[in-house]
Amino acid sequence: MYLYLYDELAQERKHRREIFKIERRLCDLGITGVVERIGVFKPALQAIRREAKKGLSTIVVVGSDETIQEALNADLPSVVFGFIPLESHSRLAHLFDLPFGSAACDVLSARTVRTIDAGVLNGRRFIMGVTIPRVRAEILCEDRYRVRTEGEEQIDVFNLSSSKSGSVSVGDGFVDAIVRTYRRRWIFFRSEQRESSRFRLRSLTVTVPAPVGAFVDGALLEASEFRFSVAPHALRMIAGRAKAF
Amino acid sequence: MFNRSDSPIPPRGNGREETMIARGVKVEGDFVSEGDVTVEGEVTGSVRVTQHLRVGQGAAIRADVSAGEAVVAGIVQGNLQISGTLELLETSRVDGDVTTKVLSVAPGARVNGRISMADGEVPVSKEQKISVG
Repeated sequence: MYLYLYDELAQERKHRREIFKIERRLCDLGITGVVERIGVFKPALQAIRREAKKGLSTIVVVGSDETIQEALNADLPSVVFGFIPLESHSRLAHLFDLPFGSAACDVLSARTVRTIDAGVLNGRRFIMGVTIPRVRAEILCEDRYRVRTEGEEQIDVFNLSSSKSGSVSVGDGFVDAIVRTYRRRWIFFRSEQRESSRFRLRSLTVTVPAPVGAFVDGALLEASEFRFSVAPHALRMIAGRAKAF
Repeated sequence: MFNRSDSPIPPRGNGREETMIARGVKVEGDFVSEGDVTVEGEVTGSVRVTQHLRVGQGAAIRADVSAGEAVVAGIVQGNLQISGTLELLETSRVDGDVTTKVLSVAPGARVNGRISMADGEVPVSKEQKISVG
């Protein structure tokens, strides 16, 4: 059974025409299903859990990146996730090669399923990456070793990491932590030199003295301890042919 | 970094994923990596690299090291156990015993310790005693 989750973006008046086109195309392709309209008082996970009892094969989010990211936290290994983006600058749509609006229905119908790792931060899943802003932090890698720097550092943790060759790794069981440090130098004037360290890790804990806001796939999360891990092959996503991996 | 023009070690062009410990960064503990590793900063504790290890000119490793292959331009204070080829460049200094299969030493490189050349594959130890410098 297909479950379609319409988020608040999909329920906006300006998308009414596009929603109509989507529903007509899904009907033509024979992949209609249950529609749930979600919002502040009806979270995605609540709707998914209720419908999961009836037996779900596919969950399709119609709307924004934030909603699909929330839906991916449903721990349903047998379920395939699909996405119909309604944002013109959707990063996930670009990653999975999903066209805007009703054109994504054909990708859903073709059903090319990719299994990918999920990054986990403080129990919450993410697909792409997390940025912890420039701050003095303690970094413990895989409970084996510590990374210390002379000053502040910015930490980026990527689940889907791109290599020098341009390929993106989606199922290697690792996250890539990029630690950017800033060294002060005096020549004729004070300048900063940026150095980047890179670690491939299965787990990582970043502790900062006071809570800071980190960007998790673009959404803000405030914490003073960031515990990262990887859920290998945890997500099954429908992707287009020219996906980035 | 290694791709700078002043680096004595040429960058590896195979595009393999690599761990990089940059200048000004200090790693303390049991460092383990399954891929290639480049060290430009400092490492203390123990180092176990299954692939290729590169130690930059300004880098310092105060630890017992085991690796598949290694190119050293900096300082290593600890025993080096290399299962393949070890290349010591002219700026390198090793204070410890060296065990390797193939050894290349540039003029100017300094080694204070015993050198053992193994005929077969040098076993890369899975558990090492940590020697903190």
